[in-house]
Amino acid sequence: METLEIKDLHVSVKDDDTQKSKEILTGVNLVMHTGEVHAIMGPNGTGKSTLSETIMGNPHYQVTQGDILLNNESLLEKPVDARARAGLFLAMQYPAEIKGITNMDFLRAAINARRPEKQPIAIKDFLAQLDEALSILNMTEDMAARYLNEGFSGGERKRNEILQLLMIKPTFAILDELDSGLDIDALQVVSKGVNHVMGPNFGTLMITHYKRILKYIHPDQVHVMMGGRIVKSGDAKLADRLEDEGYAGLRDELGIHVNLVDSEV
Amino acid sequence: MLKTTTESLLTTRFPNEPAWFTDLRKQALQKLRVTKDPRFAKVNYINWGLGELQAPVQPKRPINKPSSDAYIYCSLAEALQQHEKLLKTYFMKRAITDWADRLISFSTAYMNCGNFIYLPANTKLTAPIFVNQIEHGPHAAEVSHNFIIMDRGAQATICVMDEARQPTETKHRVSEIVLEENSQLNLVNIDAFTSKAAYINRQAWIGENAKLTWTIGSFSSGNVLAEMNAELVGRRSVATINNGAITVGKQTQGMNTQVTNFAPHSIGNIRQRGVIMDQSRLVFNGIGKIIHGAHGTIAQQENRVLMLSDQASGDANPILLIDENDVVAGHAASVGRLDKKQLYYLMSRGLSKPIAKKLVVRGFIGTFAKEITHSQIRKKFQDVLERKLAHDN
Ligand SMILES: Nc1ncnc2c1ncn2[C@@H]1O[C@H](COP(=O)(O)OP(=O)(O)O)[C@@H](O)[C@H]1O
Ligand SMILES: [Mg+2]
Repeated sequence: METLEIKDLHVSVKDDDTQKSKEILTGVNLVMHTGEVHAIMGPNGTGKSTLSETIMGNPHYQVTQGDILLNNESLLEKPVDARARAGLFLAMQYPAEIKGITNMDFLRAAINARRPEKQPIAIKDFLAQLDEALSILNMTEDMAARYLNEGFSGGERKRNEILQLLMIKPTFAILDELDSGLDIDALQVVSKGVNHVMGPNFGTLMITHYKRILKYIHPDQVHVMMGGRIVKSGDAKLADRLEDEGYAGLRDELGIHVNLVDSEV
Repeated sequence: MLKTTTESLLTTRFPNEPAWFTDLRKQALQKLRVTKDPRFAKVNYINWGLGELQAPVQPKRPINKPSSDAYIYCSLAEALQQHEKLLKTYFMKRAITDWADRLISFSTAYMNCGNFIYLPANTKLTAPIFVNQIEHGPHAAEVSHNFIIMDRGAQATICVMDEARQPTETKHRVSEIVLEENSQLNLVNIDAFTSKAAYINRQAWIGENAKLTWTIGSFSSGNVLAEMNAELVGRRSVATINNGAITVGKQTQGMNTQVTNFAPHSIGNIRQRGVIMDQSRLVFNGIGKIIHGAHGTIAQQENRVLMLSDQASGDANPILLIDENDVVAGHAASVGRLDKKQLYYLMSRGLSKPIAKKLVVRGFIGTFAKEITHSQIRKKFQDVLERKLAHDN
């Protein structure tokens, strides 16, 4: 069993325009193990993506206090690529487009980055894995030949993130708003992809604004984030409660002072 | 540096060189004294030693190339012996007609080697011709004059490479490419020059209905001054020039790439893409020229450079000179830096920074490789590109 632990995490981000630092995460605590599915729900702008990006190692975000530990080893000094090779994966809310690099080339490079330099994956094995992953996600082969995310629709991008997940097989995957911008069919397909990698050696942290994806990927634990920290944790029923009462209900019950831009679940 | 005198000319003569040829050398020598250095905007090459005699140059004796029955492929020295009439028809008569500057004058006066390829009318080759080297002496700095002549209706694919060899101080390489009417040429130049400085001048003359598809991999390791020029002389002629360049270390590459539409309904297309690393410098001057009377023509160009280091410098200058109304002309240019978001995305999947950068570069320039239809040539192009990338870390 492997463990990912977030300890009293405080994170600031510098505004690109004003160059002023602003604290976004104000003390996040979370422990997750392989074999578990966690969901973090929270209103827009509360810092869910900030948490995901900080765990992954996006240099834009500064950790001012606390720690991120993988199997009791701090990841803070490790750059993003080392964290990825250590087993982390982030399906991004806004994946970049890169012209000139095909999906296929990229996937192969990502797989080979995890292997000894002199032992790249055999093309035959790679293609077999790719075929399987494509069929799970109802993707056509030409998607693999296209440039990385270039001209992809929102749904295609999400699918493509999950294709990478299937091929890379990380230990912990963070899925940042995988459900946003997906119609119900696409949601089912990407959920199928995520469920496919689930097992005792894989842990998932799902970040979501809405409950609906939890119908397809069942969480063991649900955490609610507000004002830059986790304010309540519980089982899957917590998500149902949020649906009934909205974030505002929970906010008032806990006496938290945050503005909710958009409080429906 | 040695003196450029009439006597010094004699040392570079070919065996049994015809008098008319030696006369051309002498005329070029006269020009050398009065012409100026060619203009390369934003490239300072004054101290590169170009246009100077470096050492006594020993022309190599002609070597018999395995010419097929279908076409002629031999050294310039041999062509002077065996194909003098052909040579006389084309030598500085079409593609190059004038010693316009000091470097072309120098290169003509002191030429010591060259290749000659001639495809007779209506010869259609399916297998490509590979040109691996220009014949010259083992210690001589190359000053070459090369020909590719496509006679009427001929079709071929030619790949000119430059296998790594003993680096010399300088290299001067002039090429004349002639496409007679209705001919088609796929030309791929894979430049990996190791000389400290290289002067490259390639001029193409394109006749009626003829089509030149030209891909250049500028992957040399020394300084390079390159002029690539296609003249659309015949009606409905077409030229596409794709130039992919990488500069590393302290290297500078300055490239003038020009297409001139002389004839109506001709189509010219320039695409240049360059990647600049370390402290190197790369300048693309893309020149599209439309001559008065060349109506119904198309002239497009795109010049893009990507800088991968803060100390790299580069320019992409599109220049359009249009003297005709009824045309379609356009240009795009960009000087970009590696996008941090893209790099982060690639690295978030476990790729180290150097590998992520390599992928980006491969993608940026590799598009030209992907368009090379012949698989063996495409592979060579990609191999040399990879070798060049391996220098960066
Ligand atoms: N890269 C960034 N630069 C500046 N501000 C940012 C950046 N990322 C997030 N923020 C700010 O941090 C806060 C939390 O944003 P985010 O983590 O995206 O929230 P969520 O994902 O919960 O909607 C917002 O106020 C947002 O404006
Ligand atoms: Mg978000």
